[in-house]
Amino acid sequence: MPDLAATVTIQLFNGLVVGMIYALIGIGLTLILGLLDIPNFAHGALYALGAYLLLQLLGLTGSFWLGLLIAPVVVFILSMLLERLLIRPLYPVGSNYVLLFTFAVSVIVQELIILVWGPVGFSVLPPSILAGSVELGLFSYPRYHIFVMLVSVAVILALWLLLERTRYGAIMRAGIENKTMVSALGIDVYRLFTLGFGLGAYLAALAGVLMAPIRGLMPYMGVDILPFAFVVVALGGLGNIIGAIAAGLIIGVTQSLTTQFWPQGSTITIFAVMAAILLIRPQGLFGAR
Amino acid sequence: MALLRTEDLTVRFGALTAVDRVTLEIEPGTVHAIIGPNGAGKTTLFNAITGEVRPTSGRVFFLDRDITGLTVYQRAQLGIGRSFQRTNIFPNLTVFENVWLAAFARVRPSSLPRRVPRQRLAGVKDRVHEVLAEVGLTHRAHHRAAELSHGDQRLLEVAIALGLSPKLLMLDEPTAGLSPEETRRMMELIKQLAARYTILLIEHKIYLVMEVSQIISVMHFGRLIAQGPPEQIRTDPAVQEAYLGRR
Amino acid sequence: MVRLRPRLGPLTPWVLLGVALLVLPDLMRTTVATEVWIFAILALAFNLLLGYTGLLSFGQATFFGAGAYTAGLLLIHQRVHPLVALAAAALAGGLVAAVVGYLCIRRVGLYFIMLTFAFNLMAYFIVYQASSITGGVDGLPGVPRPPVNLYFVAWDIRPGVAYYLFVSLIFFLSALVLKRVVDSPLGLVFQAIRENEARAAALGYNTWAFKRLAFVSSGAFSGLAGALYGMLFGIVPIDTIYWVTSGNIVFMTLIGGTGSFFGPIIGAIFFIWLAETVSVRWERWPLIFGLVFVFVIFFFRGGFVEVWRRLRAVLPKSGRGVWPDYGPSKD
Repeated sequence: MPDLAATVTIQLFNGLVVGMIYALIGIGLTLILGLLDIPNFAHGALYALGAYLLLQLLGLTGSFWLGLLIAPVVVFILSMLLERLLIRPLYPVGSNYVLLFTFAVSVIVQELIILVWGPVGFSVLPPSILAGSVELGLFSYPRYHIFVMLVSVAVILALWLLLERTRYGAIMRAGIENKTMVSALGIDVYRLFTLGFGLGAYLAALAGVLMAPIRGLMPYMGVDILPFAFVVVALGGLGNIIGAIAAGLIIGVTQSLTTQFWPQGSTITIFAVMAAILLIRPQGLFGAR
Repeated sequence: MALLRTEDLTVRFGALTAVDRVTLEIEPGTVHAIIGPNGAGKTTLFNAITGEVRPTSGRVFFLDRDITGLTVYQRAQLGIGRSFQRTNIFPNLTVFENVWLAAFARVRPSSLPRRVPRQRLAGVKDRVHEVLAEVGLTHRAHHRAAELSHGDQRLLEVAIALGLSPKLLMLDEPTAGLSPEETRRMMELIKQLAARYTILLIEHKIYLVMEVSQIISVMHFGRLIAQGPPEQIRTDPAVQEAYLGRR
Repeated sequence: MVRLRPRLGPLTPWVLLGVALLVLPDLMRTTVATEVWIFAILALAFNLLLGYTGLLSFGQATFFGAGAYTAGLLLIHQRVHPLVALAAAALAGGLVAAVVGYLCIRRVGLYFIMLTFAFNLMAYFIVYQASSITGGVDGLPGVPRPPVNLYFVAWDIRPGVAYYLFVSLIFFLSALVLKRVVDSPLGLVFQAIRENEARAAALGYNTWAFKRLAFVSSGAFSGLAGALYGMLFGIVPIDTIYWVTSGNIVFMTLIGGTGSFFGPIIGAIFFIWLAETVSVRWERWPLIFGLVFVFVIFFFRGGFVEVWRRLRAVLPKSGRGVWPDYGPSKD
């Protein structure tokens, strides 16, 4: 049944591609969760912002590459400013208020996006080099999708290097594990939070940029993606970066395959699994505790 | 019959043995003190008795009933009332409400809807006034608990436990952080309470313990190293060694 | 249940509430005014969880929607009496809350919040997928408003003003019941759990059971509000169970003020006013909502009620805490 095999393989690949993007979002969210101890409700909005800034840069420069490079960096800087100026003062007030603030940010950013770019969606074309498909034996597969896979892997590798091989990374990992200890070692935990938040936001925005040519832009894309980001994080374990990667891929593939073969059940199953994990195994599928 | 009995009670946190095979008996009507250097496991012992911590092994009996498997709230319902080392009150509620909650729990702790007769409610109120008068907080009854001075909060801490009309009153360092005058006041209160309650007391101020207790148990590194009336403990070499180190 | 306070507390807020109930339809469209009181019930119900028991649940829409869809389906398919629909909706909301609450309470803090959120997401997608029953993303249309038949009276609640009256009555009754609950010993136990759950347990209260009770009560009233909402617009939009609605409920309750019983009502008025009145002039009204919320987070955590109290502080008054006054009865 070559057709079925081809279909399944394509869906599998699609799932992996989308899964990698979910992984990027998930890593960002889990990083923020692990460091700041709050679910960043603004994460979806940052993802959307990345995509819309890409649109803007495309309009200004005509270059997807510039957009890919610059948009996430802009979000990186803006979110660090946000954290430093508006989130940091809330830490002593209570984590609930930080959480609520991120929720407010998501609403505000959402509305600002619509204000600036309008309520109608946009489609974004991948750069011409990446247009079209590649022949892969049984089927042909979009070049852009392969590109996304490669970029995601590269970014995740770079992140891994950052976290495992550099001092900053070690501090960040330690910060996720034990903030008090890190603080006791004389490290400015607050600056760590700012950086962590920025890094998480960068990943979200990057994911938005990468996803743009695949799914297009819609003003509510942030709100739409947030639940999935949360599922990835819950599945991978709160604060667990490797877990987020694996979970992202699992969610992506599951979603892709079930949409093909059991559309009704796919999303419900995903959230049922999330609830089950949070209840039964809160450290996630891959966490150890 | 001992009011409270522990049998080889052991609490281990990973590699650390906080409570090591402690066997204790608390006789009704006595003031029984637990002393020991810092980290001896006294508060952990308390926690194992009240249920905040599950013992690794051993058992706890209250009125000859095995309570080892019961939850914190179930043990409280049986009549174990406890105050905490770090002030553990309801900060935004008034002093009156703080104690009222304890007194009411005695009457109706369950969440199932049931009418409480007006008379019993009045009884609860009376009990609150009684307790507040006893500890000397009547004049602060309608102040927010958070607004109280540290000394008054420690009194409230005890008052809440008293509100339960407990069969066993467990006081964890009631004089923690108190000025000498406030400490005196607390000690007088404990002496008054000793007449009507069985008290299990953790204290650091040895001179107070000597003054107020009938039996003293000494803990060191989780183990019970000595037990007896104050005069005996005062001269016990093992106790001296624990506190002062080897000579 | 028995009250500690013989009265319903100071009379002023009730008088103001009565005035608001009478005056609101003159200040805005009748449907909007009706919507205000529906969300007021919802906000009061939510505050039972947040303000009183200290549970930040991010899934209130789950119960609101459960009630709305239950009532909607019964009204459409079974042509039930509106009061039956309301009761069924309350039951549905309460049941869903019992299940969700039972599961979510097993965790605390961050996990609890995420669990309530997860269940909301699940509920949303179930409704989304079961479109043959629920109408999916387009909502459930054709919800009728049958007359309220009581003994020999048949009250036609289809006219806007009649329905406003109906909703106002239900709201007022709900407010009375909820006020009695929070002023009762049960209300104080809820607050004890908020203040210091461990100590409450050490006093002998089965805090899990009480939290579940808070959930069920909150869910029942939220479901009730959902039914009223469905009947108001003749349609149950999927928004009723959308997690963003849960967020809005949190927002409005906080903006009104969680530290007082009546605060959330003010938040509901503000939210609906923005959503229905300002929205006509400016579609981006959520932006204002978000900004006001940020303002509240930073400067007036007690919400509008705190603003009011701080203004009144200019005048001499007795210094009480932010939380509901609860003293001995004045018999």
